[in-house]
Amino acid sequence: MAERSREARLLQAPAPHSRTSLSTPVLAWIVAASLVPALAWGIALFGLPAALVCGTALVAAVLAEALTTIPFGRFTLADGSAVLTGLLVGMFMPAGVPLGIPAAASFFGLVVVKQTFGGLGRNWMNPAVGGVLFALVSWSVSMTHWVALPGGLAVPPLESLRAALAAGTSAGGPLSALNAGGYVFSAVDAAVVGWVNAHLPSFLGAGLQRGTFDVLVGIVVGPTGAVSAPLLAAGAVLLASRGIIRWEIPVAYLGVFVILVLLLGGPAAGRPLHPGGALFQLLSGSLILGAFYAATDPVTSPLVRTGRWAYGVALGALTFLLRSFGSVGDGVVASIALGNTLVPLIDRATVPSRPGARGRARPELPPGGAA
Amino acid sequence: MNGAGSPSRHERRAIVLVLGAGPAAAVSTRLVDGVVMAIATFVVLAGVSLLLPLVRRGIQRDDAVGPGPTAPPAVLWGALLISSCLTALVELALNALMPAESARLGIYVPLIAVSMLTMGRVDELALCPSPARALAPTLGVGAAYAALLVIVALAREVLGSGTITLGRTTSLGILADDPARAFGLAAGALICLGYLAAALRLLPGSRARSDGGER
Repeated sequence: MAERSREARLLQAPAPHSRTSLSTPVLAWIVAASLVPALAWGIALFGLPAALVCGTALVAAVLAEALTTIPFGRFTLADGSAVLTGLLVGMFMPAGVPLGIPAAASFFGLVVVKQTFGGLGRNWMNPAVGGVLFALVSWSVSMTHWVALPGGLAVPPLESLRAALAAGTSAGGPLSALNAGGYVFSAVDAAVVGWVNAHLPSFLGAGLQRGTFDVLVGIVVGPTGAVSAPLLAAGAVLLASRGIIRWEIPVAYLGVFVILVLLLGGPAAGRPLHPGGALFQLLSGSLILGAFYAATDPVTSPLVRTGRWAYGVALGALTFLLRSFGSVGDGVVASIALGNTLVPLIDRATVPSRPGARGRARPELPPGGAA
Repeated sequence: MNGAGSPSRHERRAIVLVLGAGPAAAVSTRLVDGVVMAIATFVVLAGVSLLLPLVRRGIQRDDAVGPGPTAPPAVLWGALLISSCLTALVELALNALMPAESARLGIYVPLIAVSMLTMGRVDELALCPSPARALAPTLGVGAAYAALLVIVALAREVLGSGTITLGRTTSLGILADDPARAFGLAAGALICLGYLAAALRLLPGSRARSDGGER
């Protein structure tokens, strides 16, 4: 009897033996939900044009997914990946872009980047990144159609900084350069910075510069869903705490980027080192959105921790190079796309052929190449 | 890659196709460019297939075809010489008849001489006993390459410029207002080539379907 009860407790079953409630669709929907606060901030800031752009991108993504799956007997809309791609595409877009462009970007990302290679889990590039990059290359002028904010803010700070540096009106840091160049910050920023400088002691002997609050909070012109770094970071922290995104990638990405800006940002622009430039560069453009939400895509990022660190380092270096010397946007989307192409090589170099094996072990490939 | 580290037979085939598609990606930004390049390549291919079997016996020291499936080095050098001469003639003719188009195509017309599409045929042409036996398959290859160039050029010009240029330029309305310029770049060419290759694999009787969908 005892032996029979022991046998009854032995359960034979195929893999996987470790189960979680976080299935792929659940993960996608959670990530999409974490983007909503930042998206709402962008829509509140830029108004109806931003809502139309994001809505168009979302609808186009869902339609593209439906057209490439339902006629073939599959229904994949419930897995949330198309919605997530559409949201990301819309959030990377300027609010004033013609509506055909986010639609084309979503369509390109879903059809060419994702479905052509086999659908969810088989794409080698993040579909949203691929679609946005396609739009940046195809319609580079239209992708700079920004919506001005009340008070005259009409151009992203990064673009204004480039113009200010080119005109030689730079001294003391990016915000000083922007102020000297006549960049208009919000009245809220004036009030907050003025209050802080008046009431709080400054340990460094200098007060906050005009524009600090705007850049920190996200009252600046930029991609619709990328302006609010605090909301994006909050969502990302939630995802990282649940293990949905891997923290090594954004930490390495942003860390290397900041180090390079501190070391090389000044001399590269022909100016002395800008100690305040790192924070400004970190909060400008779509860097936060890209680092936390696009680069951490589990399908297009490395499998093991060592690889993820290497991947993040590569992304940080590429973004610094492309932002400093490139001509396609702020360098984030292009660097993530380039990084995605490196992931198979990184995995080949870092994934052990046997679980638990030490060091790099090249996996044995079948004759004729990988399947 | 096989165990010895050298490319496998399938990888060599892929290399030949990719290199042969290089000029296609570079020049097929307008329909007229694709058509002219296709005709030029077809003429060189046909000339090599006619002349190489004729001169092969004079190049080789004996009547033996040579060891294995590859042509002897002397035959390869002969093929390169014939291909270069024909390419030079084609370039001169193009320069005389269509100087603007010749200037647009630039270095890619001379590159036909070393195009792997041409040289990839050398092994098979060297094994043919007569020009007639060499010409038929070459015509098929040339026609296929020409069709590939024309289709890719048409797709790239329509999507990347919003026009169709063949004799005169025809604007395509809304597509010409704000076209997707990515299709005018190399990436667009590779996308078009990829989808064309995928479409060919769906054809009944294609090699990919007969060997179980091998890549």
